Amino acid sequence: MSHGHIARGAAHDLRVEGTGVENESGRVLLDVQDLSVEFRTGGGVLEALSGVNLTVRQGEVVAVVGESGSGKSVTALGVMGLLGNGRVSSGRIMWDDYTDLATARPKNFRAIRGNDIAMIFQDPMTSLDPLYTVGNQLSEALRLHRRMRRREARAEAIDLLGMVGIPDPGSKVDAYPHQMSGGQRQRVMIAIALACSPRLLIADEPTTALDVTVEAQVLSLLRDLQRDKNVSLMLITHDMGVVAEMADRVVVFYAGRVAEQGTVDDILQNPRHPYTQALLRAIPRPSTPRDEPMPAIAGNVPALHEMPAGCRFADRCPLVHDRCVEQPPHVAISSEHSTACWLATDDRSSAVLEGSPA
Amino acid sequence: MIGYAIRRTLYGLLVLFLITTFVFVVLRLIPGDVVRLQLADAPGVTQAQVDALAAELGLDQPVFTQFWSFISGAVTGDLGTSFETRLPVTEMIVERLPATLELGLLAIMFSVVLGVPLGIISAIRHNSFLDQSLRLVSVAGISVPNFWLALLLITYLSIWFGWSQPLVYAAPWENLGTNLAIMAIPALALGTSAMAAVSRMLRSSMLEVTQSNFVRTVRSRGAPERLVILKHAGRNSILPVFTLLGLQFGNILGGTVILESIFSIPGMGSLIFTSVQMRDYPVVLGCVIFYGAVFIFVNLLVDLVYAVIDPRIRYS
Repeated sequence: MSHGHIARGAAHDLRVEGTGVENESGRVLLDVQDLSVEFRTGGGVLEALSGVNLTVRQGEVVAVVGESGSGKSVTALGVMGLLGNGRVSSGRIMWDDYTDLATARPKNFRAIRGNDIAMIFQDPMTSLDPLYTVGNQLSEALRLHRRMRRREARAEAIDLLGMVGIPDPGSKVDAYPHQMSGGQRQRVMIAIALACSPRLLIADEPTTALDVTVEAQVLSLLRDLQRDKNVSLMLITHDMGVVAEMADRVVVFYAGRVAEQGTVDDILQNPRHPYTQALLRAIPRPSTPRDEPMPAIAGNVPALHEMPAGCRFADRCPLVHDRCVEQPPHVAISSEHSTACWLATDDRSSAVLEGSPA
Repeated sequence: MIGYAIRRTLYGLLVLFLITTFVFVVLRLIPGDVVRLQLADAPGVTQAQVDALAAELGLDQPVFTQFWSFISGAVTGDLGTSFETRLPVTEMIVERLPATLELGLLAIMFSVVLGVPLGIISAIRHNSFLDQSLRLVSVAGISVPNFWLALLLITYLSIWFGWSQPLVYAAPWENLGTNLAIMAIPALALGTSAMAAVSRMLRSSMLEVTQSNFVRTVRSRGAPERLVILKHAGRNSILPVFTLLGLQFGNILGGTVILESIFSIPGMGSLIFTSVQMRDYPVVLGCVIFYGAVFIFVNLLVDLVYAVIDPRIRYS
């Protein structure tokens, strides 16, 4: 399977954007280049991520959206080096222009993980060690990266709990996770993630497991902290409402590839990929008639072991045409906006490209 | 926490009472009359002599009365008198207890000291050649009968290294070297299956825990693997091992009966063995109840350790 097939002009545009040279939006912190990740399973090697490019700049909120299994979480775990039995099969994960996290030694990676890059996970109920107090778990990061003494770390832990809005942090520091509600636990997770003042925070569907009222609180906490501390946020979500409210830029994943990326206005106002368009149509609105079925994208995401060689959305795409049997290039619409769809190419009418790998 | 401990203790006492009743009844149900067995060798035994002995042993009373008098004695620490030696059973047990406790504890120590690291190694390097070999050894360890293993050990240690055990038992406070030289092999043989079980249990529970979300969180903090495994995964996966150890302690107690007899260790196990041969039922009853009490106590300890390790149990 070829994942390096990119239309030359478009690839050039994207690279310029990704090199981190002076840019009004701030310097590039994380630059994922052509990243592929594969998992070894009993049934062979499955490629979960194929040639993904994305960047996160200093102080920016990048929303990563897509269906379950589209590679959002795998991308995040790849950046964190927590792929488990998966591995980066090609590509680079450049951190702050000098470290390639895909090939970093475990020791060097550990110094970055939890310190420069931190992550909060989907399910706060199971993401904290049930046998240690939240203070202990908060202190651990501080003692690891800041070499704080026990007492010092505890005082800092209380401050952090206060910062994320836990009432009575002085006594909650000694509480065990099971003594807290889901929302409080997710606040604790945020406190742990922010303990060492990371420059990039990855939040993997941080509110999926929470109920709606708590969800709003946790999201506004995340946004406030992100702005106060000027930390970059890579927010994985499938809630377009959250995207509209929080994101500066949006990366749309489909079946292990980036389908489209651009500023939040590009994506919400002027989506160019049929998948993005369908995704936006599927959002229920107050005006959506209640007696009609909810709009949905017909069909399913192809399974990892039967990915088509061409466009992976072709089977479900209302605008599918002959060229879709080939993998589409990333086409630059503007300096920020690009989409992987043949429809966006200028030479739409031209015949199938000869000699391109399939 | 205290309420929890009290509750557990009360449960333990209830179980001990049920064991006592059960063993008492079962012993009475065994065919054969103790009195006749004791007098069987003597020719010309009269009914008067039989009655006299039965009365002396308290066997002429109705079973319920016997049970009541046994229980009322037992709560004050009096487990009756041996048919054979005419000594108080409690006294005999107290004299034999240290050797058995030492043997049992050595066996448990051996199983933990070896089983825990092996389990961790197996989990960290799971499906490697090392792990596969360790698993094979574990299955063998669980399957091999301890007395046979003990005999193999005696035989091959003497053939290969010319080493044989001291013949005369010495208590640890008399001669620690001799004592340990005698205890080493039976403790090893007794602890092997527990060791194998511990390493298997720890391997699987640690594999499960290392896949869990909170371990991923710990790793995402940049914690070194040593901290991940020992502090977080270790403490979370050791709980089932304690349960297992509590249960294995029962097997080890059972194993002392044969192994103490093979190695002529003057403990409760060999006392049970000879008492069964002599049909000295009060001693058998006393020892079995005592084993039951030790087993219940150990598992009570396990429950308390659980509460110490896991705050979710402590606060419920």
